[in-house]
Amino acid sequence: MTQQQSNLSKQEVEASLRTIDASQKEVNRAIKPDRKLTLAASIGYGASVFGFGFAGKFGITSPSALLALVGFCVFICLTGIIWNRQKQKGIKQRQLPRTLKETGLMILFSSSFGALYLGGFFLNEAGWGLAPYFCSIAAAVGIFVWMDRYPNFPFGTSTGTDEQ
Amino acid sequence: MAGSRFNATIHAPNRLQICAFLAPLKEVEFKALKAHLALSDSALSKHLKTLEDSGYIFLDKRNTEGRSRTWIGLTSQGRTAYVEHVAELKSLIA
Repeated sequence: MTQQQSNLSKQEVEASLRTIDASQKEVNRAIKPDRKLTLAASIGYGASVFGFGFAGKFGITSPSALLALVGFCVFICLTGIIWNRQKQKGIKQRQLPRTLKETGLMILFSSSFGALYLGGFFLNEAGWGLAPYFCSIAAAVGIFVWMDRYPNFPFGTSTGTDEQ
Repeated sequence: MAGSRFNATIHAPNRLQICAFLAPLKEVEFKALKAHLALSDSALSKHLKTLEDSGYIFLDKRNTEGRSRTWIGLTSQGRTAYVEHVAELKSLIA
């Protein structure tokens, strides 16, 4: 192996790394969901954050609480539809992290969206009436950007050329 | 520049492409892999056989909705070998 390594030129190594990058980009292209589904899922999630933000003020049986529940269900259902479509096309995404880096990123990522959920609720309770609006927009935009631009995040982060 | 992480089996261009495509995913169906990497049936089969013989990938034939489909994924050994090989490539130009 040492002999083979020493025969590799810098250009050959760079070409190999470019091959890897190109494959990674192809993966992202392959798993990128239909934009309409992505938009609907992000609106569902945003609506859920919005509804939850006002659920404290108007009660658990109020229309806002119902909106939170329905929005979240729409988000989950559409995510399931997206994964199922990928499976029909012959691709199964990972759902669990394998490395420490992926685990950390997944926790950070989930916590951020969880913070938007709770932030809208608690800030509204504290008197910031516009908080659910801002949090729901941020959540919807965040979900859309994640699904549209980084559909494999965080699972592509440990196996590409920028790994560890 | 000795390094035991360099992997000649994975380094071949088409096999490197295959591993790089499989690495971030759970598994991919044969036809999808062939379409995305623009390889012929025979070329892909040949490279998959080499990777399978080295223990780097698994091939799982399943019947789904009346159709037989072959699903391919990296084994944990394959994933480790690929990640180490990428790290070695990067260290060669660092």
